[in-house]
Amino acid sequence: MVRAIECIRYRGSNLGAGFATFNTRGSDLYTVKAFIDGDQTREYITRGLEMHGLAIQSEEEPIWGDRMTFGSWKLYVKASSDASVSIAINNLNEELMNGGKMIRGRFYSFGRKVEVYKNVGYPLDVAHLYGLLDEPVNGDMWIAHTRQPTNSPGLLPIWSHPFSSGNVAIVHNGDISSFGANLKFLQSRGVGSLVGTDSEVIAYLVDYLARVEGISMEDVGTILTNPYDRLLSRMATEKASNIRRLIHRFRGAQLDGPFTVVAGYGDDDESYLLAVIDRSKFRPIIIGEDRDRYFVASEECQIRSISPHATIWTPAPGRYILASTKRGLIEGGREDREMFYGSLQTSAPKLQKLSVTKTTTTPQFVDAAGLNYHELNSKIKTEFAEGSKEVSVINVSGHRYIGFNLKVGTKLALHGIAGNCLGNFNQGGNIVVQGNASDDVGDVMHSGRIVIHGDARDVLGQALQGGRILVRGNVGNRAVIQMREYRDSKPAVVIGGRGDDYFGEYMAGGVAILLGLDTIDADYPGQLVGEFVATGMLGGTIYIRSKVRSDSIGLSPPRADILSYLESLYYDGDIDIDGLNKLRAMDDLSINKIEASLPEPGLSKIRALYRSKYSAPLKSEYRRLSQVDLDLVDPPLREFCSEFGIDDEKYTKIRESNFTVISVIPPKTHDIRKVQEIEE
Amino acid sequence: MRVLDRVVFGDVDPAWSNREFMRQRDNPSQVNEIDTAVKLAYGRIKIDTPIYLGDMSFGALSGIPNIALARAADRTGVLTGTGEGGLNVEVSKSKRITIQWASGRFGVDIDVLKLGLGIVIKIGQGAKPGIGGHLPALKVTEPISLARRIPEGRDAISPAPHHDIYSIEDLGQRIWALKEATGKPVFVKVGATNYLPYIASGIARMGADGIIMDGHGAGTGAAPAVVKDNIGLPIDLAVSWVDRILREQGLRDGFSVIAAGMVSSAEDSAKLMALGADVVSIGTATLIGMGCLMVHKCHLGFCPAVLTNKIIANPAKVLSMEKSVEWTSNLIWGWQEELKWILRALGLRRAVDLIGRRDLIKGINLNPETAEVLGINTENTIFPLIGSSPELIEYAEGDRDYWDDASKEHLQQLSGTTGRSPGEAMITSMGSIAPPLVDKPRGILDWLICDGAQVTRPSIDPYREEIETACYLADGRIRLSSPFFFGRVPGASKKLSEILTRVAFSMGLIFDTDDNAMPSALGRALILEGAELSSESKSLPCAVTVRLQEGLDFAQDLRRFREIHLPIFLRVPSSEEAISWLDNIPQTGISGILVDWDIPSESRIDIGISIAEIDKILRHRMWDGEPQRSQLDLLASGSRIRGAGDIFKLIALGADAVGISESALISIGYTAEKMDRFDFDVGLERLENLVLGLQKEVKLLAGAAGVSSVHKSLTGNRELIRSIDLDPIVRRRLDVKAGGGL
Repeated sequence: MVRAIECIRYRGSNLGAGFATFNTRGSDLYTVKAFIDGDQTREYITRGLEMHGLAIQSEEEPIWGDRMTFGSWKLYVKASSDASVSIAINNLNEELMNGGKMIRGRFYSFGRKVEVYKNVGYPLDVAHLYGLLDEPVNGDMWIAHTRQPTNSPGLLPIWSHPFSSGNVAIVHNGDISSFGANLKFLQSRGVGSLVGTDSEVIAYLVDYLARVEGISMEDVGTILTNPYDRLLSRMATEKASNIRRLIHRFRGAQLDGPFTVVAGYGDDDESYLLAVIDRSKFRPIIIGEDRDRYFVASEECQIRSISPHATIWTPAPGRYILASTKRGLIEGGREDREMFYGSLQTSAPKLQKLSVTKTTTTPQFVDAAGLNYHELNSKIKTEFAEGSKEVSVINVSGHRYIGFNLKVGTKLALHGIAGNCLGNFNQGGNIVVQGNASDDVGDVMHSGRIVIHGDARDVLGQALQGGRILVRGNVGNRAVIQMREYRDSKPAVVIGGRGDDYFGEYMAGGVAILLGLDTIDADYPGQLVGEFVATGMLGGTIYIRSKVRSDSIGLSPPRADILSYLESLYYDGDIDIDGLNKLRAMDDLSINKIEASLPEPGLSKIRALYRSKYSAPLKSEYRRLSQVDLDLVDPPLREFCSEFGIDDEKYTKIRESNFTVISVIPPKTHDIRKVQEIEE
Repeated sequence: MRVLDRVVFGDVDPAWSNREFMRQRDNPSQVNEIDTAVKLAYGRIKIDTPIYLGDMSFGALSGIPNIALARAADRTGVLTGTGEGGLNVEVSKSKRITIQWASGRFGVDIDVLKLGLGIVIKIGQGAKPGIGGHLPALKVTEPISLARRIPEGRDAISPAPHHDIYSIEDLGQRIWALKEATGKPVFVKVGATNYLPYIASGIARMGADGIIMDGHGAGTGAAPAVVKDNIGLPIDLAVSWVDRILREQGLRDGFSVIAAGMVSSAEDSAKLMALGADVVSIGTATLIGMGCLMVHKCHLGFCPAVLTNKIIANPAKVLSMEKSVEWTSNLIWGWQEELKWILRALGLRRAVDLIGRRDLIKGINLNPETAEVLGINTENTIFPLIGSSPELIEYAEGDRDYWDDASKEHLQQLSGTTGRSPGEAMITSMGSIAPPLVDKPRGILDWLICDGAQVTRPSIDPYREEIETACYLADGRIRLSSPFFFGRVPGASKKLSEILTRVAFSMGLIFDTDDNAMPSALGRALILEGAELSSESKSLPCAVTVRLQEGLDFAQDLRRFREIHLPIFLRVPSSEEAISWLDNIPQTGISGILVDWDIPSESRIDIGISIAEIDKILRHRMWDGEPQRSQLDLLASGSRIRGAGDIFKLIALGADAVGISESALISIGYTAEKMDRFDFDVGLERLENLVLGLQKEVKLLAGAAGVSSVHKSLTGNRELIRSIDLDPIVRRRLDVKAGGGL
């Protein structure tokens, strides 16, 4: 566990780290841990707990690290109920915090199922401090965290993660914009003492909802994630209204802004692992599963450091993942997960499926094991500077910034997991990854090639301005964002799997092709991309080998707003009752669909709802590829097929499939001139 | 008035007197010896005068000013930022430039990044924290399209966040990536917002060489007015704590702190340096030096001073290169000279000795909280202080110039009554002139600013990303498409009421009216006066209001409406007494409270205070174990509510939705005198546009704060607003934090 968190040391700082362990069996006694500034506070707490009717059964001597102003003190307490402990701890914490002026101490762990170990320092320091490496601590579930604080000074251990309340402990990567609303929610329900960070309120929210309100963990996941209303309005009415009611009832408990939260909760029967992700998936998250365990991590290399052959997948944006010790995986956070990301039995070979590409010259080998990214990149740089044309790196494990600014004629073969920012500024190099890549592949790449035999994560090909990126597997959010073309330089991206939300956002040129090869032999009813495809698109063409709902393309107004407007058109006499009912019954109310069913002048009027000065009108058709399309699609597609060994039969099948083709309706030049004249 | 204008240097050098001044003016040798040089980026960049020429892009400026700034920087030994527009060849010939790495990635590659003395990662800017760069369509001409590699004639709007930087560790990753690739120092530019000191500490810790902090009121080539006027802290409130936190954490030595935003004189820069900045950044000041007339229309591309014209092959008139280099150089030299005199008066020999000397400055009539934020003492001689309560409450009582031309024009542009972009957020350029820093505040809301998300909390771009504005009232029985509605218009004509009703109906809103004769088919969009509603018309509205007044028995009304199952809102005045009346409201049958700012009252108070206090009270009173507030909606309404900024702030203070009335009328150009001639259909169209425009502006504010679900995450979320130099008594009643504090 310590190894897994330490392998992303660069994500954190020495300003706080921690662990939490859960035991389903729990104990009758409450394990209460507090930071204290000295013996006086220790006595004060002893008296305070007794005054609240809590009996201290035993206690350990406080642990003080070097130069630390707070010691960590552990006691075992007997109490009549979870609620009585919560109330006592809350009251005492408020007194200890002294309104933040002179902090004397703080309870940070007080459950029967959970124990938190945290302090200032890197994870390894904290593990040493509490002797976690000397004596194994058993648990059904572990959480670990390293961080760079931005919401608190971080100098005191009370601000470290995990944050815990009752039998809940959470770690959080993010900075929630809903913090003020969440705080009000908790305060109005009697939770008084908080250290004042956004992360802590999440622990209290989960504890409040699960323990006080008795809400199921599934519903806690829904309340916290606050699904888009547009997704609810596509569900069965009853299910949708139940969810709406649930969220409305606990309004103020929804999280907003960026967050990936991993929460553990132990109830009377089992331990739960709950992970929630914001709607825009602003923070990294990756899920793993092997025969015995489930994993949630920021980076793949962390999971691989514990379980090299785990099946891994990324959840869809705005979803939650839930697993428990008894029920296993309850919610995986993604539909059709097994189709695109493989199931437990078949996943492992995916990485080794393809052997090293044959080469004419002898490549230089570099072993990345034991090197940090800076050392590795220096070695690669040196190899190329000394005249190597081809460098092969083995044991790549999340190393960042590999293959920057490679020149024409160079080749870099990577074996393992390429870390963030692979192949940025590529000037013509050929980068091949035998394995998965992470976020931000090919940012500002000008020419050359990046080939990924596994999956890539979010923001693939940002501001790509030339060359090709081929991904055999899936991609995450915002693939090909801001891709653009420049004179003769027309970039192309081919993705073999599926993509998530905001595919082709702000795209201004080039070709993006999404194949969904896993569905090629199936009659797949879903769509290969998430929501908000091509929002803000200015140019280029997107080809998706599945039908895409037209209200998943661009931004469309909420369904309820469209229906209101249609009713007013009926009131004005611009549409008759049959027309209104026909439109009401339509599942997809994008402007393209409405155009076919709404006569003028109503159509012109309702367009105002869809109009934005800053979005070009988009054209989307679901159809076979024309010759014009093939001229664009075929060269990169052939390259894709030959690179990944896709046979001719499949290639033909792809070529003959129906695609959703999305492009910008080109403005007429005289329109541009007209706009300019008008504005002048 | 800025806080900085109420900060002065305290005790000047005792050896310094008027006579001494006169003597040295004629023989300025001592002044000439003063060293104004400052080192940046851990000593890697030396500049002769502590000035950084702001990051104005090629495209926003018309080319020659870009080149002139770069050449003047070379000549005078300062530094100029080149902005996001891609590097102009002529500019790149100058040495003393920084290259910007921004979310739009315009025209950058490794070779370009290596051309300057350093790289600036632009996360945000003072004029619009949380909003990306914007070059309007008509300025995206062929040369710009080639430089930026984007289609011609389309607005170039950079993504609001960098989509590879969603957190401080992502930023660290990008800092190291750029350093590894170029070897250049890296600065990070952010808008001044809440928690800036912690962000600055994170930026320093992540290996950056400096931070450029851009405050409220900073200039821009194009930005939505609502964002410019309502978001971000003034730089003077931000600098001091950043400096102090960096020092406390041992991160200040060598790390550069550059302060920007409304810096207009050597005096400003000296005060900002005393507050803790190494260098100030100036942008607008340099344009004024080159002849800018402050027309605030840079985005239209026909600048009368030829500074921000659109770039075309054969422009009709051009700026003189030679002159503009000369003017800018003179500006910098003159600035340096003035700074020397200030330093001399303080008895300092070097500019670096002024940095962080808060002991040398003091406030004049600052409220104690503001002085604490600045880390300085204050001498208060006049009472009440600016921003204190009696003055605020007076405004609520009535002020003839409440509606100024700027707010009227803003509303009319949204509706299309004037301007050419109906239904869109209004775009303006240059720095904000909004209250409280420039214009006179009209009410408490003008002393509040909203948060702009950056670095750790990516903003959301409402032009291209989903932000939900729908609002549910009465336990989900009423849905509003946006968190606003049309409030009561006393004495409205039939025609006007019909326009408001019909648009409320089509746009998914409601109209709170006392005219019970509106068409019943539009009832879904009506809230009617309960007392006048007859039982025959019971199916008409979506809800009713009942006036809550002291001594008035409304129990009978309540029983009646409970029987017909309509949601009931209690209408109360915005007054001190009304808050106390809430003690006895009955639990059953009431859906919410509507605070009506227009009801006359002896003890009338600003609606911001009413909403904040009622929200707070209802949150802490329980009905059946649940807070009252989760069972009661809270609506604010009044003819003084001016637009999206007010709406947003009232929601953050605790309202679910906000009623507008006078602003709607102003927007569509309706007046009682013109009533007969006013075209019904034109009114409909304009009012619909107003709704769309306001909705977009609310989304812009929400997105800039990183809020994607307005009703869920913004209501009562006081964390997203801060007060600017507001009287502590009022601030506490609002339950918001003081801007610039930790």
